[in-house]
Amino acid sequence: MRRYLPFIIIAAVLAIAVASVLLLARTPKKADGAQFESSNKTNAPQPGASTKAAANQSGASPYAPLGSSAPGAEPPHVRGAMSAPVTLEEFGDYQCPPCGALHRELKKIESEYGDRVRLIFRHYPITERHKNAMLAAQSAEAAGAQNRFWDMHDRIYETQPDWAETENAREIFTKYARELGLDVERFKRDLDGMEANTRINADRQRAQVMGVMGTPTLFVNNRQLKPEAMTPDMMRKAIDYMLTPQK
Amino acid sequence: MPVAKSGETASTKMVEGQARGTRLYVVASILALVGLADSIYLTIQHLKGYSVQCTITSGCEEVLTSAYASIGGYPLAAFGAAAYFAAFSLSTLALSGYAMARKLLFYLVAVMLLTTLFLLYVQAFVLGKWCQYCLLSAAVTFCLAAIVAFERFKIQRN
Repeated sequence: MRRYLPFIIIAAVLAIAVASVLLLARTPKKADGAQFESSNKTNAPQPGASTKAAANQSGASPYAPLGSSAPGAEPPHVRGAMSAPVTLEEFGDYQCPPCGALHRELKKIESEYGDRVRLIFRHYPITERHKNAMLAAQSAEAAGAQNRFWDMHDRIYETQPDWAETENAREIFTKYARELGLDVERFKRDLDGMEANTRINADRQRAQVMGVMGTPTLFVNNRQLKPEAMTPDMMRKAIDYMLTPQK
Repeated sequence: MPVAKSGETASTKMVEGQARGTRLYVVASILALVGLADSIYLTIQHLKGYSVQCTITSGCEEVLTSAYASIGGYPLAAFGAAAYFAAFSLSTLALSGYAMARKLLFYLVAVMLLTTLFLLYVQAFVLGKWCQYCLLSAAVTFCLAAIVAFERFKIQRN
């Protein structure tokens, strides 16, 4: 028995290691709604009798408060069809690398689903860890004041490694504004203006009310996706779940 | 009598040396388990898509989402877990007197040490960020390297 003891110990450690990876890294397989957090602090719409119900609850107008006492910045930044049955609401930090990865995936999803999804972006800059996150959010808002929020939003995310750790992020964002054809002097004024900060703080308040713990956080028709469901496959399953008529 | 005394002393020294060697492989096994737990944690976080936050350093997120954090789509931490499991197995077998296990452990830890040095270089000079979980893994590998080097030196001297 003593002779086999080391092999028994090795086999036991292997079994524990494999079991812990399989159990803890497990993600839901089917589009059965298991991708969503079980308890949100919102009055999240449950999948009702039809997708229309979900669409109505998610707000016929993109500017309608999405089920919480803190509506966030008004009007929100919305991209996509107003009648889209699925609303994706992202709480993001422009300097967070996983947010950059999510941005790339959401662009693909928007392209694949077309008029069936719309995207709302909410600012949640984590300034304690990301020194340029706030400036990036302010830049996007300053571009938004000239109706070019989404162009700047895409540009900032797509060039994340170029400015994330630089000391001259302000110059880089001003260069983007110039390249986008914005009124640069106005952009600079709005960058430091009250309006941008007010909108960012409103989004942050909404994040707190909705129980957002970190970035990126994604809500699909007001239901928060579990962190482990933030994979390309699971995000699509969550959207498909919302698009599927429920009996 | 002096001869007997001398024989007793040599024998006692040998037993003490073997005991110390045994104790070192116990330490190596425990260290490998620490490295295994660290790597499994990072593998799970990677597979679940979680953003890993540092509590001591400040660059976990950047390091663990960088291009160096995966090989062919598989998390680097999973390879680390496999290496630590192999180190644990070989230390346990070495503890039981398998000479071949000691030799293999030496070569395995040498590869792990080189990989660790490369990853430290990446953190220091390419990314400019430090990940505390990676530093823990590096510390474990350095300790393992010290143990196997000491054992190797002891065997060669004998």
